[in-house]
Amino acid sequence: MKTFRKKICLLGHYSVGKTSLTRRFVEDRFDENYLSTIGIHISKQSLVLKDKDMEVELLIWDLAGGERFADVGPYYLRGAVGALVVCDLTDARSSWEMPYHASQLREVNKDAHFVFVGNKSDLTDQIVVSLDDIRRLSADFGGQALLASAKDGSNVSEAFAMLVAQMYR
Amino acid sequence: MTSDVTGISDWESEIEIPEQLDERMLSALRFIILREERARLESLEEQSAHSEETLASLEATIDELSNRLGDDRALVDTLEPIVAPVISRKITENRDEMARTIGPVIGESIRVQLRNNREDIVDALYPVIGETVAKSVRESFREFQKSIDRQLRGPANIGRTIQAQMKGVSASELALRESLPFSINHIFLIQHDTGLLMTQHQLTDSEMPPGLIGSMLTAIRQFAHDSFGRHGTSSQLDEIQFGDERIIIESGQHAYVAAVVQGTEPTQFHTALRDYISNLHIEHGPALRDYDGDVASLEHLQTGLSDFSGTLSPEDLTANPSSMGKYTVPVVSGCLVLMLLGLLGFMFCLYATFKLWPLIFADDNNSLTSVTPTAIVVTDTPSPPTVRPTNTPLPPTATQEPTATPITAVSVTSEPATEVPTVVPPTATPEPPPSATPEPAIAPTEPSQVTDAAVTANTLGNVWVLEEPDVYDKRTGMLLKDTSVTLLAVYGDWVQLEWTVAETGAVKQGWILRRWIELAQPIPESLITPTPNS
Ligand SMILES: Nc1nc2c(ncn2[C@@H]2O[C@H](COP(=O)(O)OP(=O)(O)OP(=O)(O)O)[C@@H](O)[C@H]2O)c(=O)[nH]1
Ligand SMILES: [Mg+2]
Repeated sequence: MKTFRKKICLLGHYSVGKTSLTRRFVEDRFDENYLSTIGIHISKQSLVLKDKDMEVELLIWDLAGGERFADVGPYYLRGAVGALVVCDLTDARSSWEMPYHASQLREVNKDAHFVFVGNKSDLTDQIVVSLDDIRRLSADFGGQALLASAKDGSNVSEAFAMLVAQMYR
Repeated sequence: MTSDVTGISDWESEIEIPEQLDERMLSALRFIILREERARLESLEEQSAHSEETLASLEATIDELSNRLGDDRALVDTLEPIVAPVISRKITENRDEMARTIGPVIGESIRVQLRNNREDIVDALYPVIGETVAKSVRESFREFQKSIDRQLRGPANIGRTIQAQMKGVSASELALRESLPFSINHIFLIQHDTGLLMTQHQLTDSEMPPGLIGSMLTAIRQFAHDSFGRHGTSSQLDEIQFGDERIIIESGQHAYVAAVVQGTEPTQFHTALRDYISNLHIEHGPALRDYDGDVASLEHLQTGLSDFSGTLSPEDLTANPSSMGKYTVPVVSGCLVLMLLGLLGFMFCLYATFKLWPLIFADDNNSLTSVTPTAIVVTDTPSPPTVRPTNTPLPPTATQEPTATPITAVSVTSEPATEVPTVVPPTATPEPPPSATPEPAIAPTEPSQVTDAAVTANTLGNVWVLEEPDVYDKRTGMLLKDTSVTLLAVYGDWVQLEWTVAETGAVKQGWILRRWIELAQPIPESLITPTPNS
């Protein structure tokens, strides 16, 4: 089985659940407490693509969201081959910012792959953003979108797998 | 006692005492009957008195004890002889139980004491701990000293002494340096921008997650560069320390090498890392640049990295130092070769002198001038006319011209150059000393004087001819004094000449400095060239 190492990023407004999605994917757990990421949080998780007989070791760079991303700087996006661009389904504004975040990575790597993720799908009664909205926002960046919940784990590993599949399509 | 007394009175009331018994008898009787009781009573009284005394003494003891309890020092003095043996016996008999019992109490009280009376505790412990530490340090130093002595006495000591001399330190300093502990735990090769781990070599057990370390290090380096290197500096973070471990980094264009080390690294360590990363870029530059995370694509670097890390021990670095030390062997052998050459040169001079001796002293008229000193022009510094070849008699000395290669007159008698067979015979006629300073043949020429006819000149001395107008260029041969030459071109201070070798009739060409020829006519402008070959 061939092994590949890839750097990917999680981008999006603050508090949308970037760290929670990563934590769910890497450690399979969820934390209600909000501890905003300062700077960068890096973790590693491997995915096996059975049909391609390959293992992809993902180095996941979870970057500070919102305005604080500017502090971190696009410098850290260098070498990233893809990103999960995340919004909070209960916060419309966070979804409007998705194209901006995606374009930051595109500036550094014009061949970057994207999956737009609407997070917190478990908060059904507060959702104000639909899958169609997110698809529309992702149109310029490959059009792959998905609703997920770091809390109940739905579609989390699928989002990462979707991104990896895009890289090896 | 009370009942007894009551008994007596009962007895008195029950017994009818005859009246005729007089008082005396009665008292005697009483004495007899009550003798025992009286004795008991007396003894009881005595006891009671004694009890009071005892009580008083007990009270005094209690007072004293309570005083002692209040006085910590007195209490310690009192209890010490009792408690100490008990505790020590207990510790010997059942150490674990003792520790379990008093551990928490002692721990807590130490914490409290430390919090409240830190200085007292320090003062109290200092004599014990200080002595222990001092002892330990003394022992370490003794070991250290022994190890240095061993090294200095070892067979490798001659080598070390030479090495130390070359490095400008004493042998013991070098040995001391070699004794400092140093170990490499891990080496990583990491891609610059992505932070992707390219390959790694682990030398000791380590908790480090190798996959992550590359990303972490890269992020830290990017952060440092971003924070401190904004103003156009290209500096990079090249060392990170945590606890007693350090990460030493050397960067290449596409990748950097990070070594996790403990202790003090040898001086050549950084150079070795730098050499490794630059050689890696020379050999595998494209592979490093195009690395896309395909682990197999760089597997071949793994062996190289482990081989390299095998050469990084302080002994190896000292034995094969890559900086100054690596030149040790060439420098020493170079010196030997030079010495040998010097010796050969000296012997050759001696030989030549003896050979020339008869020539010099055979015929005074001829001999003194028979060997014309060679005018050698190997610098483009214009030399004053006085430095021209003169008829200075032997001994063979170098010319007064500043020369890069001092060639003595001896060379004239041997072989000046292979291409000039017309060596001045030792019997050559004496040359008249060039009395007049020749005019530099670069006087501005009148346009009318410019002709296409060949411009001829005579050489003013024996001069080396060069292939190109450059003092450092290849010498093609020697032109002897007063050789008739034809001017082909003029370039700056240089003139290109053509002449015919008398013996062979071969036509030769070459460059000499202009001041070595005497022109019969001004140089026509057509000969002046902007470049040597135009
Ligand atoms: N209900 C629900 N809450 C979530 C979900 N994901 C994250 N949260 C909560 O949202 C808050 C923010 O989550 P984080 O993962 O820290 O958000 P972030 O995007 O990393 O935030 P920054 O680091 O500040 O950019 C936390 O209180 C999480 O518990 C989810 O799927 N459902
Ligand atoms: Mg976060």
